[in-house]
Amino acid sequence: MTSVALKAAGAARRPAAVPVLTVLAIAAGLMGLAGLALGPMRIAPLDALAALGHRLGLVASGIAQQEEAVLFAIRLPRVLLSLAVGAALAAAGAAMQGLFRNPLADPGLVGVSSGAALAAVATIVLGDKVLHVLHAWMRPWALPVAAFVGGLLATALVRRFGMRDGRASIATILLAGVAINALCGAGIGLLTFLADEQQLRSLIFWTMGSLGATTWTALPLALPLIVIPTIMLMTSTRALDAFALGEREAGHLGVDVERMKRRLFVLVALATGAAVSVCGIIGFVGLVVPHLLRLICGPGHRLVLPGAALLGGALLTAADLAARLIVAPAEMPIGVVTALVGGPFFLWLLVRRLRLSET
Amino acid sequence: MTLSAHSVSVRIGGATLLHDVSLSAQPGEVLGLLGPNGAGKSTLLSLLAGDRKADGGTVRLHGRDPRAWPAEALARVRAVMTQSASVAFDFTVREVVELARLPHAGRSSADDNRDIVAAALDLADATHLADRIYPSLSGGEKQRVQAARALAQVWSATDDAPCRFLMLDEPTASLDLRHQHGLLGAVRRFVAEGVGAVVVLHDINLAAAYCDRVALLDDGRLAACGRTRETLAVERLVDIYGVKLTAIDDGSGAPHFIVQAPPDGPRPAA
Repeated sequence: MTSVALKAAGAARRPAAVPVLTVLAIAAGLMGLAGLALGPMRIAPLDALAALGHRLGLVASGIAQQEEAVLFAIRLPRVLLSLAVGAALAAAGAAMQGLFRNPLADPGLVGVSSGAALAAVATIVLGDKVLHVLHAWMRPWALPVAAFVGGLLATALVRRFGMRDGRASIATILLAGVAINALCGAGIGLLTFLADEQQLRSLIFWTMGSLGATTWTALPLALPLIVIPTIMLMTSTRALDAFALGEREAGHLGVDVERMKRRLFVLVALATGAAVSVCGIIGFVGLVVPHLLRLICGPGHRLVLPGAALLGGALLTAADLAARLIVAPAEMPIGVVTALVGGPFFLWLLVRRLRLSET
Repeated sequence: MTLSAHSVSVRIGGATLLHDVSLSAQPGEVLGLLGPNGAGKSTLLSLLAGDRKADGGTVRLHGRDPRAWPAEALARVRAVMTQSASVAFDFTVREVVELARLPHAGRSSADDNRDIVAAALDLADATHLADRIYPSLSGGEKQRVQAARALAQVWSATDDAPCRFLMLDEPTASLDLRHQHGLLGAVRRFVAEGVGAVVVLHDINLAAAYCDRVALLDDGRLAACGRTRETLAVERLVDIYGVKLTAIDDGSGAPHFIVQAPPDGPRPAA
């Protein structure tokens, strides 16, 4: 989408990979530190660092006990999760856009988000009648596990409809995704209609996304499920570049096209499914962040994918900070923040593009 | 016989796209695929490239079905230029041509790759476009860049096979007169080094000037295949294309064909 801007300049200049990634990594680190430091209880960033160092056995002295409790019990898991979820959504978005050869593709396109949402909403609304068969320790897990499984099931269904003669047809997958998303939307609408007031409240929070429920309990399972597929996406960057030429042309360059499509599909579904299952639906990150990266450093996926992951982590941590601070001590759903910032930003890009093409 | 098709057939639904076609392409020569629209030229090329499986018959590249080759090794042995010139996202021209070196990862140094990309751009007369954004190019410019990409992919000898193949589907369709000859001249330079080329062409004059042998396809069948001079016989072309045609020998070695407009058709005012 940067063609117009660059055409005006006559030629494209690409920044070097290492400085861009270094700056983005520092930005993610700084946002993480801000996430640790800011909140109803201020903790000086250096104190937060010292406390982290103390925990890791690097520094001798720690900080006050109460601050330490807030830092480690509440803020640290939340910051870790926002970094991971932001990275996963942005990298998955970039991978989907590369696979679909379309800058408007989004991880939700393959049904994973709406499938997860339907399963989560079903658990919230109908769960009371079913969950009593589970042991008490299992109950907090019911929602994320149901969401994760629901997301993967919906993706598998979309993929099943998109298969023809053993080949995944990208165009059909796109259409099947639209249909499955609509069906899940209908299911969610029906369940919303059936929900009582309290269910409605938690349901709304879930469908608009929140990192507020983050605790250490879920992290050991959720973090690897989010982070490992995201890192594995980084090894497919050359194939994604080749996909830009078209599927058949990528095959001519030695890419095992069917294997690559299957691999990307599974990794995106895993990363997005795991992310959505712990913090609900967070829009716009997967769409806007890869877009920004392409604007800065061109469309090469070797830079766009890791860059989007770092920027996504930084921006989602910033969005979570905003969600916590704007209406403190209450919290806004983070999906509202990302949409509030992402929507106008996208419009600005659109207007800027039009203006440039007129000159 | 290094690249050959043995009585291949392709059927889609009820339609027969190719029926019992046999031919071979040799290293060091240009084989032209000619015929009317829908005759099966592109389908035959996609069989030879290993894109699709034949419904009947076999294809052999250096003794093995191209579809049984490891994908990357096959990509080092043969490059394909399709009719699709679209590239998603704003890659620069140089970045597009650099993709040609993907199958050589770990075998060709970064310096070599850069030199090869530069030389391929030069050969396709696209050096001045190198830093342009690919989607901003004109159709003909895009086609030259795609040709450069195909050339860069099989630029130098590989230990995967004794010879390399270039497969080009209508590579001159959008090119101006000078670049049509420039591109086919570049192909001839590759062929002089022992590369084999299979080229789908519509212009029989270009075929007459640059192809060692031609295969004439008509309605999915091989109508004729052999040395260009003998195969491009006027009566045969009139029969297959259904146009009035005369051949002139101007002493250049290749015949020139002149196509006449139907005598009773509408004309612009004189």
